[in-house]
Amino acid sequence: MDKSKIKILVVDDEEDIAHFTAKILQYDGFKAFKAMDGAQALEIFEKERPQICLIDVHLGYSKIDGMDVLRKIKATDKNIECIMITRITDKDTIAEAKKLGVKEYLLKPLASEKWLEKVQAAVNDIEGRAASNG
Amino acid sequence: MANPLTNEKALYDKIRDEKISVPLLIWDLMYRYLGDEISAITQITLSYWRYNESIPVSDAKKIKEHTKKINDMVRKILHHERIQDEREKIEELKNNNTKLHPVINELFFHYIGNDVYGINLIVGFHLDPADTHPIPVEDAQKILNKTFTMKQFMDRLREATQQEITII
Repeated sequence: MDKSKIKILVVDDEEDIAHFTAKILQYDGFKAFKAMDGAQALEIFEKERPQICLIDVHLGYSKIDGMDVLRKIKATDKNIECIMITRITDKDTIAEAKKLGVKEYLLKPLASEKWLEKVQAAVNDIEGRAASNG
Repeated sequence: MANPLTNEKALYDKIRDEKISVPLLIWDLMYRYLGDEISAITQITLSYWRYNESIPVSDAKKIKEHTKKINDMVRKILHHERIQDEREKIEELKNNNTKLHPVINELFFHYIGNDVYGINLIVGFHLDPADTHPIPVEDAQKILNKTFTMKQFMDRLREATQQEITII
């Protein structure tokens, strides 16, 4: 699949994480967007309809947190690949995310390129579904 | 990367044998604040290193800002009784007199402290006001090595203290 046709939304309240993660994805050929709070994330989601979302569970002082964003996205389209960015203390949150169909997690701190493998796994899932749908 | 402590094995053995733990509140602070700052340094650096580009001065300054925040947080975790901070969690630390066990203190200060200091030195060298220049790819690699070892330390500490692992 042509990477430029895959839209990815990065949601993180730490601006440098959101900005540079989206930048790396853009350099790698994807169409990437960033949001720093839940409301902005949902606005971009409605407008751009990304196939993949990287969502930080904790969105600081945002009224809509990462799990709210996940619930709304999955309610709109359960096939959207969501990768949750979590901490080790997020046990209950992770259990709920799993129920909502989240397969991939990133554990902060991010400290290597490993997170890109999770993105690639999501891309593979999208390609697999596209192939099986003919 | 920070050089291993000569008594490192003994320290980790002590943590395991004596079931020394890290208060949940401190784990939360470590992952909330340090996790974000380390991730930000990684993503800034990766966005240039991955494409064989030098880190421009403007973004090198951002890395320096993040290292400063890590230093502040390490200081707050280790010496919260000395600081004034309105943040709720820090207040909670102070009120409960929550402290790290001295063994964990030593490891924490050595690994996080030295790696952050190392990143500061690298960035500071290139941001020298007398001769400011971008951070070359080979030094970007060194920064990434240090963020990686900080994460490794946090993982190893979590394992040694038998903090429940919910992901991975």
